Amino acid sequence: MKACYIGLAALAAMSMAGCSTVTARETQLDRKAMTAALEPQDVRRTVEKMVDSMLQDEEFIKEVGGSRPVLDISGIQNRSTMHLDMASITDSIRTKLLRSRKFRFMDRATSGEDAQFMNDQAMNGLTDPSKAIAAGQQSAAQMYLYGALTEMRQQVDGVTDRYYKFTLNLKDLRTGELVWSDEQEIRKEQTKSTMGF
Amino acid sequence: MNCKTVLIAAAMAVFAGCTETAGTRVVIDTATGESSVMECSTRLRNRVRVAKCTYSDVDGIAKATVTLESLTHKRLELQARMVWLDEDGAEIDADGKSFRAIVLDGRDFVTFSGLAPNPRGRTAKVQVRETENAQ
Repeated sequence: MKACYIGLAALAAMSMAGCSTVTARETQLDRKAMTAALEPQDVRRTVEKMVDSMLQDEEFIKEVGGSRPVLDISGIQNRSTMHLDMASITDSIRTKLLRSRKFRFMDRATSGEDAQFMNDQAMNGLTDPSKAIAAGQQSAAQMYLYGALTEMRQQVDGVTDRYYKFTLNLKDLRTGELVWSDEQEIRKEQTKSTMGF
Repeated sequence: MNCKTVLIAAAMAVFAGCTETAGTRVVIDTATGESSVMECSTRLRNRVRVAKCTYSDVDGIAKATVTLESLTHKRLELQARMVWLDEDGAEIDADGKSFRAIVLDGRDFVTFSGLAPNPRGRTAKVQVRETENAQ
C-alpha cells in the first residue's frame, strides 16, 4: 500500500509540475480557430488561395502570352469592423507572386525615394555621371490589383456567427478591363457557454 | 480496487492530453508521376483514405491534386496543406503554404489541390490532420 501512495504522489507531482510557471514557446503558424475573428491562419489561407488562383488561371495566362506582366497594387479596402493591416496582406500577395517568377511589380510607395536617389546622384557631384541613373526610364505598371474585405455578423443565443469575404481584382490599365478576379469566403462561429469557468 | 488499477487510472488521466499528431501524408513526384501514401496516424487511417493523386503543369508550374475519401458516416473536420520540394528534395518556402480547413461529410469525397510556389517545385507533400489536433 505504501508503494501505491508513492506512485500516486509521483503522478500528482507530474500533473502539477506545470502549475504556476510561465512558459513561452514557438507554435505552428496554422492553429485551430480560437475566436470568430479573422486570425493569422485565415489571412494565410486567403493569400495562398489568391496567389494560386492567379497563377493557374489559364485564360489569363493566355492573355499575357507568357510574358511577365508588370503589376502594381492599389490596395485592399477594409470594409469590416475589424482592424487589420491590409498593407501586410497585399505585401504577402506581392511577395508570393514575385517569387513565382511570373510577374514583375512596381512599387509606388517608394517612388519618392527613387526620385530622391536620382536627384542626389545628379546633383551631389560625387557620382560618375555615366553611372548615374537618369529619371524617366522606369517601367510602368500594365495592370493593378485592388480589392476589398467585407464582413457580416450576427449573434443568436450566445452564438456569434461571422462571415468574411475577401475579393481581389486585377485590372488592365490600358483597356480598363478586369482580367482576373477571385474571392475567398470564411465563416466562423464562436459559442459562449453559459456554464463553466 | 487494487493499487495497480488505481495507478493505471491515474496515469491515464495524466496522459490524456497527449494526442497523436502524425496525420496522413502523401508524396507526389510530378516528374515521374509516382505517388505514395504514408498513413502515419492510426486514428486517421480508419477515417480517411487517399482515393486518387493526379498532377499537371500550369504554365511551367507543377500542380498536384489529391482526392480524399471519408470512411466514416460522421462529419470530419480536417486540415490539409501541400508543401513543395525541389529537385534536390529541399522544401520551397515551407512556411508559405498554410493548412486549409476541409469539412468532409460522411462517406463523401473532397479534392485538395495545390500549386508549386515557383517552377522549381517538383515533389508535392500533402499533410492531412484532424483539426482538433492542430494546436
